[in-house]
Amino acid sequence: MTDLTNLTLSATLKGLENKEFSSVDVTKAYLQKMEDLRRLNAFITETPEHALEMAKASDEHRAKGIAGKLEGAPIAIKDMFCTKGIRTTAASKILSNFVPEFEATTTERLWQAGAVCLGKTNTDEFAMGSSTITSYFGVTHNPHDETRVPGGSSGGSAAAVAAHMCAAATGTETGGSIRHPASFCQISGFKPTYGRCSRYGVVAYASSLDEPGVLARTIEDCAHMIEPMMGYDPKDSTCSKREVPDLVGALDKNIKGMKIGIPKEYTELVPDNWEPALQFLKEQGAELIDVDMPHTEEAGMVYYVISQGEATTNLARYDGARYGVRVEGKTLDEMYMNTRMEGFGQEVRNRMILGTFFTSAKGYNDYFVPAQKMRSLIKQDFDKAFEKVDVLFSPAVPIKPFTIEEAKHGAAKGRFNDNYLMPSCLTGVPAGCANNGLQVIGRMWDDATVLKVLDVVEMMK
Amino acid sequence: MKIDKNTIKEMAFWVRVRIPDEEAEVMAGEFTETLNWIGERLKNPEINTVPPMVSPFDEPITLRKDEVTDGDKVESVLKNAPEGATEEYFSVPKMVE
Amino acid sequence: MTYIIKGKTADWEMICGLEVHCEILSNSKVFSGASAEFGGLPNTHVAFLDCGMPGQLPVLNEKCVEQCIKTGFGLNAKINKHSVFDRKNYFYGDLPTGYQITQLFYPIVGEGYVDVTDEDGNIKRIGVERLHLEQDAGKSIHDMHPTQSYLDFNRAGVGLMEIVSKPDIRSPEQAGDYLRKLRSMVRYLGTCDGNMDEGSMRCDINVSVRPVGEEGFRHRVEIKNVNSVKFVMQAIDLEVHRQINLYEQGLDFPQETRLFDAVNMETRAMRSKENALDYRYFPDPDLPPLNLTEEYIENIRVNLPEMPEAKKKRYMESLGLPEYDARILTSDKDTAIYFERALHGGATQRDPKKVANWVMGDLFAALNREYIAIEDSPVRPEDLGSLIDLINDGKISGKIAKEVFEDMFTTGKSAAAIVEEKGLKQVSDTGAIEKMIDEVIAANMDKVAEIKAGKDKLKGWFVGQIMKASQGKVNPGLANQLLEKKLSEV
Repeated sequence: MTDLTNLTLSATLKGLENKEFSSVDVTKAYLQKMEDLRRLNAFITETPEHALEMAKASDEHRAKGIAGKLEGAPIAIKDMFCTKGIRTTAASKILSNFVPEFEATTTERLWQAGAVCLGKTNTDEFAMGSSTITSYFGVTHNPHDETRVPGGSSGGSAAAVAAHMCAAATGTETGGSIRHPASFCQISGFKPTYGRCSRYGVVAYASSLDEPGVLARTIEDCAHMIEPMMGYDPKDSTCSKREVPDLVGALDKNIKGMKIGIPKEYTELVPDNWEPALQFLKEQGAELIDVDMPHTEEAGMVYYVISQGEATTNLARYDGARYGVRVEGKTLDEMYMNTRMEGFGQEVRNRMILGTFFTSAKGYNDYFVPAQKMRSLIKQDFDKAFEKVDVLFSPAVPIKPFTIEEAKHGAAKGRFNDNYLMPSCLTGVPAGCANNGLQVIGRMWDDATVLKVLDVVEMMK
Repeated sequence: MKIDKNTIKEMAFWVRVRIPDEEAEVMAGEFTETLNWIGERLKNPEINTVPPMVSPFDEPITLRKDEVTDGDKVESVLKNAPEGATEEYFSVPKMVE
Repeated sequence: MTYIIKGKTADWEMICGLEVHCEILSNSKVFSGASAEFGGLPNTHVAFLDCGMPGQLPVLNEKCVEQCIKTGFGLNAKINKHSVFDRKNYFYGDLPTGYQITQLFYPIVGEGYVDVTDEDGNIKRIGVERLHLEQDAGKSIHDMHPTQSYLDFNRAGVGLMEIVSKPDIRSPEQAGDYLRKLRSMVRYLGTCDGNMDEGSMRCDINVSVRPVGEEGFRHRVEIKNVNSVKFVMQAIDLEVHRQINLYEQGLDFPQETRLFDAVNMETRAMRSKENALDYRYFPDPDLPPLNLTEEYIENIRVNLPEMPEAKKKRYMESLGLPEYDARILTSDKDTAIYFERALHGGATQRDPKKVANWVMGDLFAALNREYIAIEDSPVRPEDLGSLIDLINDGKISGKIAKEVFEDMFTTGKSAAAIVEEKGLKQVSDTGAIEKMIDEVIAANMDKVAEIKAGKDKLKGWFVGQIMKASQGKVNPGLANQLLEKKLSEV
């Protein structure tokens, strides 16, 4: 029998539908792979028994002919999503004993669609980073070269997908945390428009930037995975009531006549497949148009101010009083200090400290508000570009993954690490990365077109 | 804008973490540099032509009906409470002297 | 007499502003679906949001928005069509998320005013700076364990309206009346129960002093969480004298937060750490701005209940009540409701003055005696109305009516039932009355002679005797009329 873990999510769903194998079969295969590759440290928490139970239930559903869209497909969940009854840590010591009594809306919808939960994947602590090295639970290794990082912060999910330890996985983006590790691990990643997926139950890092999304081996798989996660949720005031489009159906491999913008600010450094890709898109009938995105360079600075400002208040609730790890102290403040000193890693502590400056009266007026204005200018760049073109096309992360050693010495702070990713996070537009490291960015709410173009980009060989 | 060690230490207290003097010193230096760099970039007069962007979400707020739909789950609420909690209350070191 | 304190070195005046927190009356909390009801077993009115669990998000309760707008109208204030929620960041045990959601930069209600009566009986207008919507904190209990405080989040997240006055208050009396007016207003509107004992209405006081004639403001002291009108007046008076004393000794004091101690009758400084709070604010990215339409606001306005001042005016102008009666009857919403129900019997309206007298006289006396609130009165307003009808129709005398009322108050029975049971109906049978008069005249011929000699006043004595003989059941008007007739026949 062939190794079932080599099948894409789409192929797995087909096989399950045609009764070529059962969900229990494919789940067992993935659990075996997880065990074999445990050294990659892609998972913080594995849930094998839970997975087999869900797989059995899925097989029963299929037998009764009531299969959901992802019925029986084994997936992994980034450990930023709260899962009821399953430990949820945000890769932090402070939550290392936290077992939520509630379920994130997006994961709830995945389970309703029939997906099977294999476990919770590693991430940078509270998703703050792009290497998956700040996790309390250790570094995750890139499956293609284990001396290198998988990127981040959704590095555990990316490594798990790339190493066939799951059919697909959820991720979250704040400044590029899905596309970055997808690019480093040579898989596909997609973050929908801000407001498409509910943030309810997702551990918050920077609320105006945080977006749930997915990582998989192909864009088609991403479309299968993200569609059930989307849609209005009355528990999130920033979740849109718009109708969810047919994303899988949108992948018609036809981009004839489509106007694709090439922002020159995104092409300072390009990978080897860049020129062939442009040629390929032209061959597919697309029209390539140069566009200007003059404020691209400011994105990193704006992100720095806004994400740290928001993070410092989002992380105030982890104080050892009501849940999570507590380190005792004689007074309330002493208990807070001991708990937060011990519970948070240094990177997180540093971001919180600096973040307080941007929420102080002076920092707010002199830096935070001007940064928010700069954010508007970055948005204007997109608005103007989308007057001329349907989507934007560029490399995602045009550099090779760092070695773990390099990352520990601050390599991830380099310029081309996430400059092409951050502007789309700041503005909330949908964006995705194909499994060949090239990205497509679309108009607000036009998630379908982004996936459609990415799907074509993946046809290139 | 110059941030000194004491300001860093005060900021650390605001978020209830400690930072040793040497680290605070280094952080103050680096942060001052970063702020000056950011300050330069933010001098761009273009920013005065646009409003601050708080969130990408620009749809109207949805209001909830005034109905009791939650609560009555004290056990769940206290399930993850650190040691010292009772069946009814969370517990923390005494807040008054 | 304005409130001026004669010191050794100068005449001093006080400057005071109040921040009043009113818990909003709503079924559920402002951002979660947990019950907003007062009390409950510990941590039972708690959603995961209210205890600060990760990933929990706020969703705004429409009722809380409506209540703020209503109260805004009660403050004669501008309703802001655009308001924004901010996070106010600080650490404390009763604050589960490390920040309070409030409205700093763009509050839902802008400037307004409250008219109060000052110490001289004049109307003084106290400006209102703003009203904003925010969350209440939880409760900590310090006396259940020697080294631990226990936390109950039932109150955490209940909607609060913070009403901030301008520094227009110049005497403890004005502060007291401002609070009373606010309390009466929110009760009328049904936006807050105004119960200061249970903490659903709490007050922070900002107070400073300066020599009369001095411009600008001196150091201001904030007195936190004072929970009765009386205490607020006392705390201001104490603090004003404390500050003047210090100044007159040539001493200064810091701009600080103090607590009022009602037992030792003093204000004292909070520990320095509690003072060192640096609140950091920024807009909450979890909540889009609240944008209201003209139509939405107007719809709330046209459905507002009549406010105390308007009601008082109507009582005076169309019911013809004296100012005093109108003020007393409208000072409290439940009293006004009672009065209006007693006033109207079906389609007819009773004599307003008579109804007012009964409500303010016998009813208030009985309620006060038994410590019963008017809305719980054993004599329902409809029954009091019927009792007044019985008097007007001549079925019972005013004197009997007072006895009947007491019976009604004790038994809760209707007036008609009591009159029937006890046979208290007035005697209107002229034959029977004439017989009684004949007997009284026959027994008192000497007094009849005196009347004939011109001592008219004695007629009253005769009526009294007749009433006595009938045990009060005779209609006094009728008795008078028949007495005249009989006397003329003698």
